Amino acid sequence: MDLRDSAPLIVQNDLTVLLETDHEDFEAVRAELAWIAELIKSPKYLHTYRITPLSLWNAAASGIASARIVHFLEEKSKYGIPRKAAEQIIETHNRYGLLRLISANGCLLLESERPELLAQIKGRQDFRRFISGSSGLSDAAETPDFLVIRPDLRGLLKQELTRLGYPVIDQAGYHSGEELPVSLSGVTLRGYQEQAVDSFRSPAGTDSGSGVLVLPCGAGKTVIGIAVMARLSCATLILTTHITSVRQWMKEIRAKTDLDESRIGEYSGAHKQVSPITIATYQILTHRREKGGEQVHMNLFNSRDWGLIIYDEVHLLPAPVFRATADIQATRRLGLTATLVREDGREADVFSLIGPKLYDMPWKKLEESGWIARVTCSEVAVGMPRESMRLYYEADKRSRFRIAGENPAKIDVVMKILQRHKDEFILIIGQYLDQLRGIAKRLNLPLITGGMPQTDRERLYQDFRAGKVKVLAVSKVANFAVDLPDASVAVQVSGSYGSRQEEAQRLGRILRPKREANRAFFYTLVSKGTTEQEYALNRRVFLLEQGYEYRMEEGNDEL
Amino acid sequence: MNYRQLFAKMPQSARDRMFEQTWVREAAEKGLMPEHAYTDDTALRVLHSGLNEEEDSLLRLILVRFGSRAFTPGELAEAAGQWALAFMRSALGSLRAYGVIAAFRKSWGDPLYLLPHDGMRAWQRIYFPINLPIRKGSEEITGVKALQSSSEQEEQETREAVLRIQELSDAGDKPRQGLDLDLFAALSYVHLHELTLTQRGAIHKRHVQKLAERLTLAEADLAGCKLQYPFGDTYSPAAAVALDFLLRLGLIVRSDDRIECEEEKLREWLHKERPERTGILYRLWREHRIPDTSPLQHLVLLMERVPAGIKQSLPVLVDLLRRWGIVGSAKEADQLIAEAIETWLQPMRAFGWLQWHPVQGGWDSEFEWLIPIDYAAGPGTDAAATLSPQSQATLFERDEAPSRLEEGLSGGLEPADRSAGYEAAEQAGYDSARCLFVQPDFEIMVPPECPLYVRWEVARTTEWLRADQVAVYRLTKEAVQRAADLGISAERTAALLERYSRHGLPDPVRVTLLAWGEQYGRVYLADITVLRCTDPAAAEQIEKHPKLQSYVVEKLGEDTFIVRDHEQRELLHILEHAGFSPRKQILYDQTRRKPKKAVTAATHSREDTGEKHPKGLIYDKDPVQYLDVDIRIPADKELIEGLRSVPSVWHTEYRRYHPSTCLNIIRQAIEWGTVICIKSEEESGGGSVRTLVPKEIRGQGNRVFVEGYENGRRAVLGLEEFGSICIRLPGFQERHN
Repeated sequence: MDLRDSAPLIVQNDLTVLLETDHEDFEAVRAELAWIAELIKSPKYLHTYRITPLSLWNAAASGIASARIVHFLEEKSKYGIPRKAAEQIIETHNRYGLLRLISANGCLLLESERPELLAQIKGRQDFRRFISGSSGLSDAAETPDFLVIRPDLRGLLKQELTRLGYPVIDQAGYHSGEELPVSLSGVTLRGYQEQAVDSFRSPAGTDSGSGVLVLPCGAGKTVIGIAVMARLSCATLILTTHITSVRQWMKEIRAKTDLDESRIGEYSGAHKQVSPITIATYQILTHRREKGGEQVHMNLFNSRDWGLIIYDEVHLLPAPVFRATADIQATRRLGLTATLVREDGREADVFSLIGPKLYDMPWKKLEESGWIARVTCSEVAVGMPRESMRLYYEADKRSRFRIAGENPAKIDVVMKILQRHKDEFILIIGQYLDQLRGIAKRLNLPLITGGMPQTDRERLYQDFRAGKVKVLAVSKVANFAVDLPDASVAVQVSGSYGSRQEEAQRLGRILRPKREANRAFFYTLVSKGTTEQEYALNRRVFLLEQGYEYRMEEGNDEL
Repeated sequence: MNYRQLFAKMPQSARDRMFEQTWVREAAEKGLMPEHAYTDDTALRVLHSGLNEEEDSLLRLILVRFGSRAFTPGELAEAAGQWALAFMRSALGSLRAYGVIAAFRKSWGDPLYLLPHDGMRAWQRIYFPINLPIRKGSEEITGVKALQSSSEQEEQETREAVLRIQELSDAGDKPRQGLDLDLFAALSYVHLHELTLTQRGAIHKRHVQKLAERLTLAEADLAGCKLQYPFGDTYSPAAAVALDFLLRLGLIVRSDDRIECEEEKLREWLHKERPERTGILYRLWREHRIPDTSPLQHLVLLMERVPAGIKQSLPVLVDLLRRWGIVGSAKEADQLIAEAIETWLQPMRAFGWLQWHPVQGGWDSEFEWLIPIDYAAGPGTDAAATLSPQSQATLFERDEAPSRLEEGLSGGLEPADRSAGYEAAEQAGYDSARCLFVQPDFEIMVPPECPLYVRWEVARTTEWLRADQVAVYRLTKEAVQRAADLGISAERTAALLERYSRHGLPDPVRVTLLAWGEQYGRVYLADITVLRCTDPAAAEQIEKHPKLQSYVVEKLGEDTFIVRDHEQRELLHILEHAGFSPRKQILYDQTRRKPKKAVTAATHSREDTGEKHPKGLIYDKDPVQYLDVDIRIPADKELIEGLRSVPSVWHTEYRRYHPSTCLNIIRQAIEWGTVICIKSEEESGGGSVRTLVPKEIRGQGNRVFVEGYENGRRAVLGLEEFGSICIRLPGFQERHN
């Protein structure tokens, strides 16, 4: 059989779907598949997707029928779709829409075309608490047409029913929130950004109420969030992962809207300002003054009449914020993320409490369109000097990793890389301060570490942005959102064991589109024949799965 | 048992006698092997056209009542019912003489008869010709009462059966990789692990569990087969079936203390095409596990007549069996369907050979072959036995390709030379195996069409992750190092993956793989032979001795030399001549492990048992496999005990007798199990003749009656009705004519 002549998909029994990228139908099939399955990994030749209940319900929410999904998979699959798998898709998909939340006469009602389902819910002990005492229904009614639900438990009910496998369509409506006219200023949305905003709220004013937009790093999620804010023109609470990101949001809002400075507030450990546009961290919301104490900052959700809540990096949303979100289901919610996959497996809570996926943009497409830089990743194997190798063999397991990480021979390789990219903006990123100090001293480079005051850091960043400094050594403080658009080369001299997240974050530093060639280079230096190589393997897996290719180089060779 | 196995048990003279028959010789002249004439429809039709009435009827009776199950004379007599037993025995003798029916002798002398199952397949086609598939309501099955229940109890039983069928359907309706890949998984496990046996001779439990985890075959799939095998407390039915197949195929062998792969057979097996492997597996299962009741056997044969990819209703086939008299009542038909599903369809589905499911609420079950099943494709059960000279040659040629490839790789050639190795491989027909996807995250995806030999290479150099439509393996450091222990270097693993991968080996994977290889085995323990001297002076003399220098590999310290193990004898000789007077006895470390006992053939090997094929694990249902073939066929006269002590006129002429003599003649006929021919008074000059098979004499005095069968119907005749009579004996018919 010549595989290239046959269909591009392989549907596994566990509903994993493999897509061959060298097939002539690849683009069309990928576009369709993105609506019904989660992309798990996308290396060059074979992408892996997974069809999950959530992906099917997301598809259902977008109006894609189960028959269409099965037909599509059958038609595009090399070996057909296993019968059981098809049955499972239909059965799961068709559960979406069986239950609806609506408002009628000031009451919140749960209704269904299948009264026996309502009867089952009503009959469950653990669901009694959701049903309002004033339902007016006789307890004897075995097959009710609807159930009256306590409005304050709207989110929790949705969460529980989703867990049970019966997602609820929430049509109970949203309140407008405090009015705040916002206009975009000095910014033109890219085509895909416009589409993403439309998918949340169309120019005609119709909206999906709540949902998640999935875009890769560097796609401009912040701008999209601001544009949604402008469409809705209401008081907005923005929740993000850390203080640098809070500041970045503030900076972007100031730069891209006509809002007065006084309308934008930071709610963090340093400032507790509740303004019509308030940006806070997840950390401050979940902060307790003492162990077991109250999370007083959760009141931020109710401290203003928010018309919109934006959850940045929604895949990192902590559990207590989920709980608080369950209580504010009448408020519009926008989730922004690069991936729906959560390390804690709580994707279903994102679905039930934030909303279904509304938009998905693959990074490769952005790269092809030039919206993010085309990155070449290289792993450079650096031999260890004999003395370091002796220390390495004599050391315990924990120390070995550090000895390998601090391999003194790496400095020579860094110099070769600097020589190779001599006119470019380069970041040298490392885990160990001694090593970074050594490099900075030997190469006469400025060094940013966590111990450096924020103002000094900002000054160095500013010098880098201004082109006064072209090579900057940075510790892990630069792992997180630091906007250095011109950085086009990152040299990772050491890292935190096998952290994939760190690898992706460090790569993110050089993703911004570049003015000229739009190319970027990401080097990872690893000591040959040591455990560092094994950890490096773990680190690069995430990026490999995203479709980045790695070049393997020998540090001792001429780079 | 099949004809091939049967003839193999016979002495040459008996075989020659069979093969010299005209119908066999005619078949042989048309190109058939003589033993294949016994399974060939055309050849058997020639034989069939020459059978006399008794032989024809008896063969049909055996086919219907016993199928290919062994039967005793008593069972045959009971089945024959109204027949005259002497004629039945005579016909049986003829069928044995033709070689169609085989006789075996139990240890205490009682005979057992058998229609070999490959013969049954052909005779079913001859006696019951029909084209399958057929649909409900088609002409072939009109007139047969549809399956229906009449009494309340029967209805209840039917409901329960429907429920059971639904349960079976649900239980087996799960993703499978099929028997072929299940066996591959088991083989691969055996290859990669040291499967030592307990003192009882069983594989250790932890290995059995891990082996079973790799199988998609489950206990529920085999429940209906009621398999019996040793170590039932350790082996799950699925593991037992896998081991049974592998043992029977000769792919694994059992030595005293372990189970290991049989490399030669394994290589041949891996290079067979999938349809060929499936054919062998089906025939193996069919020969050893075919149900032992005639109706089920007939149903199995009918199922084989349905082409692949076409749905066929099971009750429709059972209706046919009812029409042919193989199945009796509707209730029996109901039971047959449930039994067939449990004992045959369920495992077949689990093996990935067919699909079945209940329709219309459970009763009407349909099945469909997923792959073409052709029992006649070859009678072999042994992988090697099925290889024709041509196919063996093909395998040999194929085998050369990887060898050349290995040569190129193990020699540490540079990339340019490596590609030369590929070219050699491709020229040798190795160009259709680029089927793998090697992912940069070290996962290897193996699609179903991937040849087994490629899969094998993957399996022994990677970790197995999961079985599915596309199987998933992962390259890990441990797997690469394990492969190194098996003699597969990291370079070779990389080259193999590169060779079989559709898009080559991603650079990071190749580099990491080679790095793993480099890291492994930098230091190692070696078993070496040293020559030690008791003093440095002797060492110096040896070192300088011109005849001894070439025997020294390396000097260790002042007084020790590494020498080559295989040159021991020679070295000792030269040392002796040179005057060193070496000690003859070699000093061995007593704590050293005893060398592993060399694996000979399995304990179930041909040599051990004198049989042609390796035995399996699961006990066979075939009761005749250990019995001797009885080749002596009694002459008709021998069937009539005491013939000489009876007046010959009784069986040569029609005469009227005195009632008392008449009674004696009838008694004698009953004793011989033969027929009384009666001519009426007025027609004694040459009129028509009644034939009675007398079974019993009743009454006394003037009121004596003879009960028996006339034209197959029960008849009671008064003694006065016996006019001119004559006993009819088998083999003496011509005199009556």
